[in-house]
Amino acid sequence: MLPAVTLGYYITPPFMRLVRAGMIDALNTDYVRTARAKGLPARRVVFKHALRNALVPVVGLVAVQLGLLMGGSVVVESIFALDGLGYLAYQSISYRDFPVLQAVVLLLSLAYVVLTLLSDIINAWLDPRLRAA
Amino acid sequence: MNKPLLSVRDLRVDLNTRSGVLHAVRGISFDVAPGETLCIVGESGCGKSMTSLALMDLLPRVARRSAGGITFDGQDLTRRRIAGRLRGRRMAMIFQEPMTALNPAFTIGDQMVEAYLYHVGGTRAQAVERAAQMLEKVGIGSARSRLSQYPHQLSGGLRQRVMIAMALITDPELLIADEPTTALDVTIQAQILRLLKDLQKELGLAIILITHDLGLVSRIAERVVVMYAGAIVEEGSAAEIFDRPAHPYTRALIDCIPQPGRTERGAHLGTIAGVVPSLIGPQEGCAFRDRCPVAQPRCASDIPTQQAGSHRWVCIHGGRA
Ligand SMILES: Nc1ncnc2c1ncn2[C@@H]1O[C@H](COP(=O)(O)OP(=O)(O)O)[C@@H](O)[C@H]1O
Ligand code: SF4
Ligand SMILES: [Mg+2]
Repeated sequence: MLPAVTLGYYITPPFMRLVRAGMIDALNTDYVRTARAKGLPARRVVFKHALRNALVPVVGLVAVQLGLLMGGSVVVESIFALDGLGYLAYQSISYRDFPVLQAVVLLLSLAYVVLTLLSDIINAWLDPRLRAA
Repeated sequence: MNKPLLSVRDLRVDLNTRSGVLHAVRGISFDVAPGETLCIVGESGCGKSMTSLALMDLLPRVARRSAGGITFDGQDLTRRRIAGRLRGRRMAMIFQEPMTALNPAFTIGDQMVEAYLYHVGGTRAQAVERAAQMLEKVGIGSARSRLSQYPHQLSGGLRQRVMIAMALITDPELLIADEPTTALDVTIQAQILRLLKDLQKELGLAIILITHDLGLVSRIAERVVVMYAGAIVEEGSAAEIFDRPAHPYTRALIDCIPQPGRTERGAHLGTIAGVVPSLIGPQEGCAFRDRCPVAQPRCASDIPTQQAGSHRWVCIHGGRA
């Protein structure tokens, strides 16, 4: 419980800020005005037309933050003595067990690359303008 | 005049700004008859957009609207519930910026269908059928395949056509068009204008066309309202406004229309000397007097409204000064 709260406390604020800023921007766009002019209910305008566009930068941040989370878990798992990948990395450093450390680092980097790729794919789905590139 | 479709009485829009309350619209009144084209014309910053947004209840948050009365087909538009029922269904609006007015994240089909399904109902297939029909009506070929395209795949002119098709999909009786051609190049402008005119005839649509370009007004309007500094300074039929303009501001605007053969090549086009006065705080006397070539000392006090039939103007001079 406490480890989860610790990590959550660390990574949530940037999300809140980004979603808030994104929504404020999106709600002031011309296409949101168009959606309102069409007479759509406020719920629809906010959750369909505004949120979809506000999410694009958020998805990018998810990838970055999950990466940080993996790094952060090294600290958190060590402090709370949890049996996880982070703790393993910590131990392999203490015992100078380089093959294990290399494996952990490789795994983490791989995870990072996959996350970034995933976020690009999700963003291309969210915003069709990103598809051509 | 037969019963008006839209009737606006003493409409005011106030904006809170850092330097004080800006009175963007200062008690204007006008009517729109069913099937009629009314043009609201005036320089940029005269309160035209605020007027149109106020009618659709789309004003920005800093703006406050008040009105002696706004009715649509006899129903009280100042009541949120009623306005909510009419907006997007019996009264629709298109905007100046076709490049940003459509949501980049959804196909144009999706955006067209959604309004139809919400207001009219029926199955999705029916709505798609209707959307394709509307695209054809606004002159977009291979409508079916267009429906699955995204806004960024269309040109500005096409997007404005899509906006028009989308606005008309619920078969509204009134279309408010705020500078619909200003962002487009001249040939496309003419096409869109032609299209609006044709659609109006075909559908019996009333149009409020808002523009700063009086040249464009002469091609489409039946009645004209001239706005200056948040107020109506002259109102009349297109013939009255163009053949017998009574207000010095209207005359100045008309003089700005480039005339083939009459306007000198390279002459300074389309502007009246001087600037629109600040709209912050109250206005004493005629707001145009700093720029008016025929101003008199008494223009600084209350100006009477003069009338000749349906032709009305707010000036100390009667007719040709
Ligand atoms: N969001 C806003 N905040 C403050 N002032 C505004 C805002 N929008 C418009 N205005 C002011 O309101 C006045 C009327 O603007 P507008 O209705 O857009 O004019 P027009 O459409 O005739 O060009 C202008 O003086 C403009 O500066
Ligand atoms: S009232 Fe006076 S200042 Fe205003 S337009 Fe007429 S003549 Fe010009
Ligand atoms: Mg405007």
